[in-house]
Amino acid sequence: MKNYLDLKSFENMIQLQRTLRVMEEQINSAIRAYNSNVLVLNDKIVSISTIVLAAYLEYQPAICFEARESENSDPNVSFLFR
Amino acid sequence: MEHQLFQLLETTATQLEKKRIRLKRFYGLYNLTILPLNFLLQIATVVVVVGGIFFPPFWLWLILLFVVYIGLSFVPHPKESYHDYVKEDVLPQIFKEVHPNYEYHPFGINNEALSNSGFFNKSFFRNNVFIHGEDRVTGIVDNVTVDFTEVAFYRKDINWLKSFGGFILAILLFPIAILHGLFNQEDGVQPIVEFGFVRDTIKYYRGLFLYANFNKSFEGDVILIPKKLESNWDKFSDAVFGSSYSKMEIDNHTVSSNYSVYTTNAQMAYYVLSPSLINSIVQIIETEKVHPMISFRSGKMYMTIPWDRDYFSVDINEPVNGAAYFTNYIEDIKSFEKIIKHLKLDVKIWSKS
Repeated sequence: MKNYLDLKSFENMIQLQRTLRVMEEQINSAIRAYNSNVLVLNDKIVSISTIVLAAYLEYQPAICFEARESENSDPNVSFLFR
Repeated sequence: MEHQLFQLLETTATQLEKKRIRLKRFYGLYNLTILPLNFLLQIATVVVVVGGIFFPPFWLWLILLFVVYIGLSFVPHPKESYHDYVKEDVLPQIFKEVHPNYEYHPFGINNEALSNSGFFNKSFFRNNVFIHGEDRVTGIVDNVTVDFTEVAFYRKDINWLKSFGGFILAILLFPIAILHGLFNQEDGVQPIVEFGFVRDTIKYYRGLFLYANFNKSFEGDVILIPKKLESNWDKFSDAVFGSSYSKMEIDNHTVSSNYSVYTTNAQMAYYVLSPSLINSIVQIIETEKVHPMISFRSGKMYMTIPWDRDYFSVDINEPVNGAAYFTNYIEDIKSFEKIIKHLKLDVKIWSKS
């Protein structure tokens, strides 16, 4: 059996990929949670049971979050390898 | 089919068919002798009990009847013997060959996982008559620890027809009770007629209970309860209605219209319920036409799929025609892996290491 080098950098690379994936999922879930709350708020503002209270408290409809083109690009992690 | 597996199945099929033919003969004999004897025993018991009211020494016959009853109960039911043979001797061998990572237990249930699932309240396990678990499969699928069990929940419900029959019988026996009271006044009060409801044990839920390590690390709870079940699921977790849980909306029409989703942390719940996982759940709902209960608690996933599918079914009347007989069993074994892969639980994006 050949003795291959135990490349620690490979493990680090996998770890980095996982971290990036988790971060992406976390950001995505935060956006979904925010947008879900926006939809609930906007529904409450126009629903009959709460419309008067919402007008009295001057609640305004919120806007769902949408990532800009530049924010959708893959993260640049090249600086980690310098 | 691999050659080694084929050989094993062929040999097992031959042995099983021999066993089946022998037990089937005995099954016919059992139906002709033991069943009528049991019936006669019940009639004799009623006759002796009623006769004993007028002539108490007659009740001594009950001892003999009891001895016969005990003797008959030791005669094994051929159908059950065949069932147990398949589950205890045949299936473990097939499991070992088809999926060595699995461990098969013919009976039993993971009570700890069931109570940790959050589907039931604290009183559920006290009030329930009993929970039956069968065909429990534990093991590892692509580094995911899994535990599947076929579960059935039973409880006692009033049988109105029998209760009414019992009521009529009690009224008919009432004059006897009065006569008994007149002639046995020195015995004190011994009611021989009692009024009450007759209760039957009924199966009210059947399905597959799945417990697996989830592919993401998270702290907190997310519970998806089908809306149609929530209204009559009186045993549903108390905790859900506590202050720590809040109801949330899911951005999927099928799930939001069919499920109530409760969580301890909305953002974490969205992290757990990724769009791909929701799509997998929707596929189960649409293809299987079932609404599973699902919960995610502290890095674990629990699911009960309510279906009448009988895993590893055994029928003494079905001839064992070679290796092909076991095709359904092998498909059942592979179906567990399919569920895990379908939910993509084997795709880990997070690792503790």
